[in-house]
Parts: sequence; C-alpha cells; structure tokens
Amino acid sequence: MFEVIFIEEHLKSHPKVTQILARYPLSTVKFINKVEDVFQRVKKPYLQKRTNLNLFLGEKKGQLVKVAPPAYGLFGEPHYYFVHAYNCIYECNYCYLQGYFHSPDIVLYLNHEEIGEEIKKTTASHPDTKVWFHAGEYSDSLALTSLSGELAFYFKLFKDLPNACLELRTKSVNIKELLKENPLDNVITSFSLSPEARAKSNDHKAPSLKARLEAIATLHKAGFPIGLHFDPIIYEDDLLENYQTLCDQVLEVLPAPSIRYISLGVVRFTKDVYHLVQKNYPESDLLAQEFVRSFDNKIRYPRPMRLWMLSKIKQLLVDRGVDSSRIYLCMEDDEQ
Amino acid sequence: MKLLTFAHRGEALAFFKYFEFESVDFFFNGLFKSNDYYLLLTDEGPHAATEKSMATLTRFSSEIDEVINLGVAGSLTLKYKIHDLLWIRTSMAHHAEKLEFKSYSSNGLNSQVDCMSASSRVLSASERHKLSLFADIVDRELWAVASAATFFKLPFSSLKIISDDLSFPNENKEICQLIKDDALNFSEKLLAEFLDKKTKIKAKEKVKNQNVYLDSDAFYFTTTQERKLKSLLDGLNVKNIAVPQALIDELLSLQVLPKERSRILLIELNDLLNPFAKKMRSALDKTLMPLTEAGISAQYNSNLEQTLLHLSVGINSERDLERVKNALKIFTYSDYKNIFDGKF
Repeated sequence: MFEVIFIEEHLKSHPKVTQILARYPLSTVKFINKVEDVFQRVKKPYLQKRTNLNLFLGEKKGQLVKVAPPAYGLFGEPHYYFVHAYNCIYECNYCYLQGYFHSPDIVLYLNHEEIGEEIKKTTASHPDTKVWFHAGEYSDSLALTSLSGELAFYFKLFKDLPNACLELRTKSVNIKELLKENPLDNVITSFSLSPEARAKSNDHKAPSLKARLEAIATLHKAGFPIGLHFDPIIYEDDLLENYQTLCDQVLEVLPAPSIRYISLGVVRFTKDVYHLVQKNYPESDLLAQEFVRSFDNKIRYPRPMRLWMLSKIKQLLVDRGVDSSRIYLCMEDDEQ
Repeated sequence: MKLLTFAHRGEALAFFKYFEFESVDFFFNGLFKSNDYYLLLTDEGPHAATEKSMATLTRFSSEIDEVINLGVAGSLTLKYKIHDLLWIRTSMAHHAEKLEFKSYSSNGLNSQVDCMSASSRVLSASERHKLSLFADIVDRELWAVASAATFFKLPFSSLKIISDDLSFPNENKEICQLIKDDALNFSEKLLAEFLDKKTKIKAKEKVKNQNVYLDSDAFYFTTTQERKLKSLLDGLNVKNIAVPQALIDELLSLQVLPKERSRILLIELNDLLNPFAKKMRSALDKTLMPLTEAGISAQYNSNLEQTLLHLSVGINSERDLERVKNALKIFTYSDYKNIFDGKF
C-alpha cells in the first residue's frame, strides 16, 4: 500500500513505528529529520495517490487544537478540531484535500499525549459549556485506526472529560478498533452518507453505502452513539427520490430518536479545488451544473437552488420522525 | 507537429537515422525539422534547456501540439537498472541546493516514475540519497523543458533510459564517457520504445468532435462565450444529453445577427443542461411580471446570491406614474424573497 515510509529519525524505536513497519515489510523505509523536510516540499499531483502513496510518521508541532470553522456543528457550543493525521486513503472526487495539501501522501502524527493535553486545556477553558472536538478535519477518523491505533487513548481521555464531546467523522467501515472500546455517550461516530449511486460515482475507493449502513447498524447495536452527515449533497434530477430512499435506508438501521445529530451540506469548493476537480475528474457529472461564487467566495450552486435542496431534504427527515433540533445546515450563511 | 528534445546529439542519433530531419535556420544550431517533428538539441543542463526550449516554442508553438523530452537519466533507487526505459509521471527540480516547489505532470499514459532535474551532475552517494527522497531518477533538463511546455500550455511527456544506476561507483567521473560510448545503443532503445508507444497511442486516439457551432458562420462567440459554450457542451456530453436538432434548426431559422443567435444558443444549452436553473429563473421572472409588464426594468443579482432588486423606469406622464404605482402595489416582495430562500 505504501511505497515509501518516511520516519522522523527520533521516532525510530517508537513502539508504534515498529508495529507499522511490521505491517508493511515491502515498503522502502527512509529516515528523515522531520516530516516537513520532505512532505509538501515538492508539489505532488493529487492523483498520484493512485499509483504511489507514501506514509510519513512524525510528531505534530505547533497548534494541536484549532477552532473549527463557523457552522461546523450544532449552534451554541464551541467547536474545535485536532490534527493527528493529514490526507486520506479514499479518493472522493469533491474532496477539498485535493487542493489543501501539496501532496496526497498520508501523514500520521504519533504524539497523541500532547494533543490530549491540549484538549484537556481547551475543555478547561470552557467550564460552563459542552465543548466539541472533531477528529478528521484533514483525514478520515476511522480509516487507518487499525494502523494508527490511537482510539483507545482518546476513549480513555474523553471518559475523564464528561464536559467534552469527541466526533469521529468517517466514511470507513473499519470499526474493528472502535468495537474494542466501551461506548461513551460523549464519543460520537458520525458517518458521511450519500444516495447509493452518488456514493458509487463520487466516493472513489470508499466503502459502499450498503457497507456504511451495516457499520452503522453494528455500532448502534453495540451502543455507540451515531451522528450523520448528508454532505455533500449533489444535485441530480431525481434528488428527492434518491434522498427519500436514503432516509428510509438509514432509519431502517438507526431509528430516528437514536440519531444524535444530522448535518446537511450542499457541495461546495474553494476556487482552487473547483479547478482541480475540473482537471482531475473531467468525465464526472459533478460540475455539470450551474455554479456561482457564493457569500464566502466558495463556489456553490446558486442560493435558491441550494436552499431548496436543503429545505426539501430536511423536510424528508422531519416527515420521518427526526427531531428538527437535531438537524443542522453545514457551512451555509445564517440568513436562512 | 511534435517537438522532440534531447540534451545531446548522441541520444538522438537513432532518430536522425530514422526520420528525415533537416536543419532549421534559427538563432542557434541544434534545431531540426521533419514532416511530423521538430527536434531540438538543448545541450546539457537546465539553463541551456530553458533558453532553447523557450526560444523554439516562442517561434514555433503555433505549429507544435506536444513536447516530448527524451534522453538518458541516472537511477536513484535499486528498482531501476541500466537500459530500463521509463515514461515519466512527474518532473521536479533541484536547483542551487534547493528544491523547486513547482512540479510538472506529464500526459504520459500510466507513467509511474518521477524524475528530478538537478542543476549539476549528481555524482556522490549523499546527493543521490538526498534526491532519492523525492524522485526515482535524475536528469538535468526535463524540468526546464516541461516548464517551457507548460508556459505555452502544451502537454509534455518524457521518455528516459537509465544510463547509470546505483551500481556505479561513487564520484566516478568516467561515467559520462561510458555513457557517450554507448550513446547509439541508448538512442536505438529510446527510438524503439518511442515508435511502439506512438503506434499504441494512435490506435487509441478518438476522433475529435468538430465543434459545429464555432465553425459555423451562423454564430459568433466572444472569448468568454466560447469558454461558456465549451463548458456547456462538455457538461451535456458528460450527462449524455444530446442537443435536439429541432433546437438548432429553429435557431438557424431566426432572422438575427450571429452574435444574438449565439446568445440565445447559450441560454438554450444552459436550460438543457440545468433544468433546475431554468425553473428557478422562470419563478423569479413570474414574481417580477407585474413590474416588467408595467415597463419597469427589474434586475436581480445574476449569481442569485443576494436578494437586492434594482428597479428602473422612465416616467413621462401622469399615466406612466399611475401604471408604475399600480405595478408596485401588485408586486409581492415576499414571493420574490421566498425564491431566494429556496421556497418555490
């Protein structure tokens, strides 16, 4: 899977490094001073991940916990994300990661204790409110957990932080590591879902909708709290029929009262990512719609169109018994 | 016409033999032309390659549709051995002890090898190790040629043959002589692979659709409209939507100037591709009808991001004023605003 594994020299004898190297005996191993010496030093085209994916193992320096963008979660509570990995093994053709880093290589940071300390400090700075932490801003939260093995650490951490919530955002069905833990009310696994055909045509290399629904069912039965993201919603002529089916499929495995929250977000791109999608996926129908520069300079469908899509899909959920207070619109301006 | 670039004549020997190249009278020696190709000898190193590639493309880029760099390269890994023929995926550069951030991706089919162009010859093991963190092979000219091709918006590809690998002793200054001695052999292998690839590509080449609209005198497109037309046709193609012949016939029968016909065509194609957008705009036009029917020009934000509505009207009599007042009474702003909020 990984052609070259780059390891920061001082982590040579780190137990996690030893474990990872044992998993990939065929990968070439190169020792470097620090991740930044090689990662992103030269622009590596995004699609090169199909044929040549490297892995970097290092320690994250600088700001470990950051304030999440507005409208990231339910209103009224502070949201943060923490960075323990860069990039993703999947290749969703709308993904902003294709324009975010200058390399698609995977970086795993191993200094979870330091990240944990930052999470504790941040939680302590909000003594009177619930604080949210999101893993997976720059990576899928579960996809590589059997390799990176950090879940046990974060479960232990959040068990002692009842005031804080952790969101593990994923498209993965790699729930083996998760099932080793005892469910916690404040650790929510959230799945990004799209109608079956959309997931197939856009979420390249990611598990199918059916597999994701099975993972949701298993976790729900095991008592893990589940959140959902219908994001990105991509317009198609039979949008409402497809989302009706998706809502029904979801509610079959996860009853409405058990959905902790569900976010709805219409597809959006920065200008750079929009051009990269055009370049990387010229055969996709993803951009074969009218797009405009929207309120925050991101490229979106025209406002009437996206608000129509959001309100119709929200209504589909409400009609099926989902409490509207648990539905939030992601990355939309607050005029609606 | 394609531009083939080599650093040295030795690397191009077999090509000179196979194709009938004639010298081109230009600012420098080393540019040749055959029926299908220009051949440029850039000389060694990034500076010479930049100067000569740029000069050649400045003069002849209108005739050239692809740039292909060919030549020898050194292997930086144990994977690639002498005489391995490799199509390059990404070109990178290491100049004056610094990595260039910019890299260029070739249009090579399924290439899987990256090449670092170094500003000086890479002879020591430590230099090789440093570069091997980023690339599989090393040359001295590709990045310069690729950057010139990209500058002129031309696709490039590159075929390299490994002339020296890690089995060569370090600091061996005789390498260059050994490579020179074997030049014809390297060149023949490059030619054989080049011709083989060319045959495969030709077989795969699709017949390009002629753009019936751009070629027709019945239409006139500005540059922006031409871009819009391309994007709409690409979108329709991706969604497998055919442009109805009846629509074209109707447009052609209109007694309007080509410019106006093009404008109408773009609207029609947009509606065809985005029926939802058509629905949205029709709904807006309907809410504005009381105003427009009274001769009031009502303009909303073309991106539909802001609800701001601009009205303008000329009033020339009491009657005009009454008509405008009545229209404003009938117009329901909330209906208009609802459309912007997705309620329609």
